[in-house]
Amino acid sequence: MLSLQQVKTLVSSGNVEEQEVLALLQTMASEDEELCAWTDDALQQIDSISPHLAGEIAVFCMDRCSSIALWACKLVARVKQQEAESDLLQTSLAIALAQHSSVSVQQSAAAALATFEGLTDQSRHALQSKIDAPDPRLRRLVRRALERRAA
Amino acid sequence: MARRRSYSRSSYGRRSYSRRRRGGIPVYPFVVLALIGVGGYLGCDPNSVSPGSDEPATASSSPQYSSVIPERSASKILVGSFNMQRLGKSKMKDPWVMERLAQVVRSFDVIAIQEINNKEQKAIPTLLTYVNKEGANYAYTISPLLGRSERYLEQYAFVYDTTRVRSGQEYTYTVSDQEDMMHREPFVGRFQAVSKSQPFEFTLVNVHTDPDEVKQELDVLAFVYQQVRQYESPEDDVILLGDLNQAPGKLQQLEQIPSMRSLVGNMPTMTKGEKTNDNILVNAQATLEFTGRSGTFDLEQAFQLSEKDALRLSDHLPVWAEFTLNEQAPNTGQVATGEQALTR
Repeated sequence: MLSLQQVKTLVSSGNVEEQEVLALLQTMASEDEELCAWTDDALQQIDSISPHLAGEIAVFCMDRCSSIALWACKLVARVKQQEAESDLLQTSLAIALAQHSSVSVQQSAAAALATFEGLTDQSRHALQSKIDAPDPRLRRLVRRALERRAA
Repeated sequence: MARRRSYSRSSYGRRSYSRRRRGGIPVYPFVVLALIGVGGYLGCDPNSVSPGSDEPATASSSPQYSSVIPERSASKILVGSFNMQRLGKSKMKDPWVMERLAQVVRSFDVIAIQEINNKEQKAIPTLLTYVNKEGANYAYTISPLLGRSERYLEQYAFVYDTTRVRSGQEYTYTVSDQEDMMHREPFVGRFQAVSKSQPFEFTLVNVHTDPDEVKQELDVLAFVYQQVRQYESPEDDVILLGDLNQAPGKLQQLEQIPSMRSLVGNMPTMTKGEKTNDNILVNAQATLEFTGRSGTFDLEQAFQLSEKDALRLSDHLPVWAEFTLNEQAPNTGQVATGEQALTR
């Protein structure tokens, strides 16, 4: 876990290196609201993730800490050349969408699935299982993901 | 602009306006407006305000952008917006930062603040102790904690000089977003300049979009802006301001609203000078009170700071726009004065 000062320095530098991604993800487990907010800003600066990190990040999609899992799903959507790791990444997202207890994580997983060129059967099934979810944002994100694929 | 309102003494002895349209708020399937506060309009006691100047407006069709904020003037109202980047415990514990943030606040008659991160809700009261330390009379209104994160939430605030502008928590509301279209629902506040005659009355819509969903949120904001204008009618000076995370030219449906104008243009609003994220948007046909002067507040220049030190304050620059103290009515609209009963 990184300190507040370390995270602030990353944010100010505007340059978050890939080797810091996993440490940043783990920092989201902090109970310190300010540290989490700054970490959120640092993670936001990451435009793309190399495929070699994708597997390690995808593991966090089912993390018990919803803030970590939410960000892991977001980062999976930023993996470069998703097709190379598509099945592995989609499996992680589909499980998070179907099984994570946090609606925020489910939303993040649905949004991430919408970025893939082609959906696996498991992903499609997970999306369809949430198409009438009570949460309006989740419902909307699921439908958007399915509609994109249908288009 | 035209005012058709009424106000009366409430059972608590406080002056309040009645709103005929309470309960008649336009409903939209995705976003509805709901009053968190008591609502109502600001009462104006003509005996308690200091004289304002009758200096005519110089409403301009093209803003004169500047990175230097003008001195506050008795005949003008300076409105600002500032994303204070994670205003929370760390900044509260740093007097150097707080003194300079307070100086920024004191440069304005009213300022909209974004990114307040303190669930104990002490950040703005602490800022106010610095702002008012030398005898100023600023007050604040604040939104509920907003956001989707389970780890941290944000608040908006309006901080205003009570000798120049009237407002109060009861004149604020948060846009209710039943369909969860926006990460942080806009915070709306009503204001009235302190002036004996025809004070400028305006509504500020304080926003901070989510950079991840900015495309969707900007279009929702366009709808919200129009709904707030409709709801606030006959008040037509509705000013949208805050961190939009997008520059003019990419504001999508917000820019499609007839007469909608950016008062900051494409001036960089980030401390590092790289992007235009913050803005002030008005309906140029309605808000004739805009004097034509607006821009950013260059923190490095104003406080003689290095970029590194300016970043201790925020990664954003404040943005500002100047308005006349008094209403500029192009038509024959009625204007509320004293106890005159005006219906809405």
